[in-house]
Amino acid sequence: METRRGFLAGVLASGLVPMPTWADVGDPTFLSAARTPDGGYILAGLDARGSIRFRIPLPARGHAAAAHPQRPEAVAFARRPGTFAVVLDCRNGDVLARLDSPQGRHFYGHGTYDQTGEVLFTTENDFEAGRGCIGVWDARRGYRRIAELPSQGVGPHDLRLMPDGTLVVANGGIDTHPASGREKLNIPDMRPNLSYLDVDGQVLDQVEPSAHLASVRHLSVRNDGLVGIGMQWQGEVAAAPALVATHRRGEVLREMGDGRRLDGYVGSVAFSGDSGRLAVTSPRAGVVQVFDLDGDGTEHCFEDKDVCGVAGTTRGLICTNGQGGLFSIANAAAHLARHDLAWDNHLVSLA
Amino acid sequence: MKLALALILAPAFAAADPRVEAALDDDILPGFAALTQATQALADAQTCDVADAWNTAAAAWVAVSHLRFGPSEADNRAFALAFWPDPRGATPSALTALLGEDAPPIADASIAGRGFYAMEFLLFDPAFAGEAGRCDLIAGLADDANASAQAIENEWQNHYGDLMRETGNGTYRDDTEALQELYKSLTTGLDFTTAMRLGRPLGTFDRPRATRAEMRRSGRSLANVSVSLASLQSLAVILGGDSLSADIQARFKVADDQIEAIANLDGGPDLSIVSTPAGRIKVEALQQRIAEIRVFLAETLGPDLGVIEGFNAMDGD
Repeated sequence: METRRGFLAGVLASGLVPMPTWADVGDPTFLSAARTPDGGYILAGLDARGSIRFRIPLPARGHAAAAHPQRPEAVAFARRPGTFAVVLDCRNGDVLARLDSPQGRHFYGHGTYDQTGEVLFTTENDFEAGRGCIGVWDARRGYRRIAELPSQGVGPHDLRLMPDGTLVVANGGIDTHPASGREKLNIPDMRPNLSYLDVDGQVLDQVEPSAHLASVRHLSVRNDGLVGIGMQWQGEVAAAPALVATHRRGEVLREMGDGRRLDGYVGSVAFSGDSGRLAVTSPRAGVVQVFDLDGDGTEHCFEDKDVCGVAGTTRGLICTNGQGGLFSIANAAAHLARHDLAWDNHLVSLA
Repeated sequence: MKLALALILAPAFAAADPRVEAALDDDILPGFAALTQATQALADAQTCDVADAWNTAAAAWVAVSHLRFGPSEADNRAFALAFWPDPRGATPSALTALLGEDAPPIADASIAGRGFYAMEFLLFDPAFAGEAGRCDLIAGLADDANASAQAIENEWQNHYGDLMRETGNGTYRDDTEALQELYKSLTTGLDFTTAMRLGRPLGTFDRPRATRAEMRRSGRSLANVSVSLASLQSLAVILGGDSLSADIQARFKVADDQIEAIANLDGGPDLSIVSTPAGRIKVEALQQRIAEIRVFLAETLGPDLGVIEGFNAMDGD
């Protein structure tokens, strides 16, 4: 037995056994979770035409997924305030690892790998202290938890890897506690922010939106380091300010649009693949707003019921909705496909 | 001449939706007027033996607690009246801080130390019974609550009610939006009662959490469920109109019967009954009945008012 194990280890180390890649599951361009007609939940891989390349079951409704940069592995997080996430083999749905948040922490539903795929970062709540933190997990060794960083704010939701390997975190500012579910505990004095962190936890930059009731929630990062931001308004919809912004580290926040048109709520945000546009979705208002960043900042509005997922494609953008539909936005919106599924929250781009 | 003028002017004022009118005149405005009155009585008390007046005022608050938009949200008034749930126990610490000060300005204090839930600690929790300054603080909190209630009522009377009646303004573009706001408060109220008023003490089967029940110190936990359901029923019936009101009433009746069944049991009023398996089942059944009302409304009243609750729109994450 000793010999056999030694032999296998040697084979693995020498790379003779090919590592699985995303090509093994049909080279999908995006991942999205969905609800099936019978009330089950799945994770699907999609291509740019809206066809499904793979689908595997999920144990429960998830929030976002994080995709491994090389291996066909995805981390699916339970909805907040969930205390577990599963790492799934997208070839067959096998659970490769299970991440349990440590005592006193719960997940917020987003995570990201570093460029090498060796480390996974997750947004979490240190709920007795009401402080946000980032869990650091070793993806090489069965997703062992190796460190924890302060998120530099309350209620971190989305986090992304910057092109230089640092992190950007959307600290929504909203304090919750699992004993009271999703009930918001500090609206009168919430202080959302966008924080840039080194992977050792050092703060590199931090900005706050001009209105303290604008919860910084979802992010998209362009390859030149520009960050797109989608916010959610915690006041009266009729008083909602701009809820979309871009930011570059070291500069001021550039807020844009009219939050009232979004019913005070942004569900997802993404840069277009050609980089010149930033799109946000609002399932509550049933609209996609697309801002022209290079030109005069014109915004275009596309109406679509329960639209929420959005991601960039080579030529533009692709969106998903709760009725199973997928459509692309180049100059106009064009229907791509419709599946007998309800697409959930986010459409995750594979690098 | 008068008549002619009236005829000429009439078309200029589009009639408000009768359901919005009825919700305002028969439900919302009387509800906030009752809250002002009850907090006034509480503030006028010359003693700090005000348990009865507090009970009336707390019930008046619960009856309007689902109307979390417009005047309630301005200046954090609703938070100042009702800081709950409080999973980290901020209220007792805020009260201890206030008791340590001489005549603290309540309106500037932490919201955790203001409102009905803070007063409940002072009135019913033995830990505060002998505190020096307790009576003064009760009086100060009562005045503060009355000021908030009055501010909410004034804004409803003088401004916000008209925004809902005469839609086509920056807040409500049309009557449908006003109806949808009312519908949203209805479903939010049902969800809050299910998830917080009942869900918090229920905890999990292995670990029920009786001490997390709302206003358990005064034994109002179940009464709050009852008051909130009565108020939500009244709004639902107004919005549902003739076609739905009988069905709506029948469903609320089933929930009311379940409340009755719990109320007479030992540990029913403060919901500590959740600690026994037999009691827990009864509270879970009540929770289930309310969840069924919620589903019924989402399937009938919602579409009636043009509200289709989308998979993503409802997730709110």
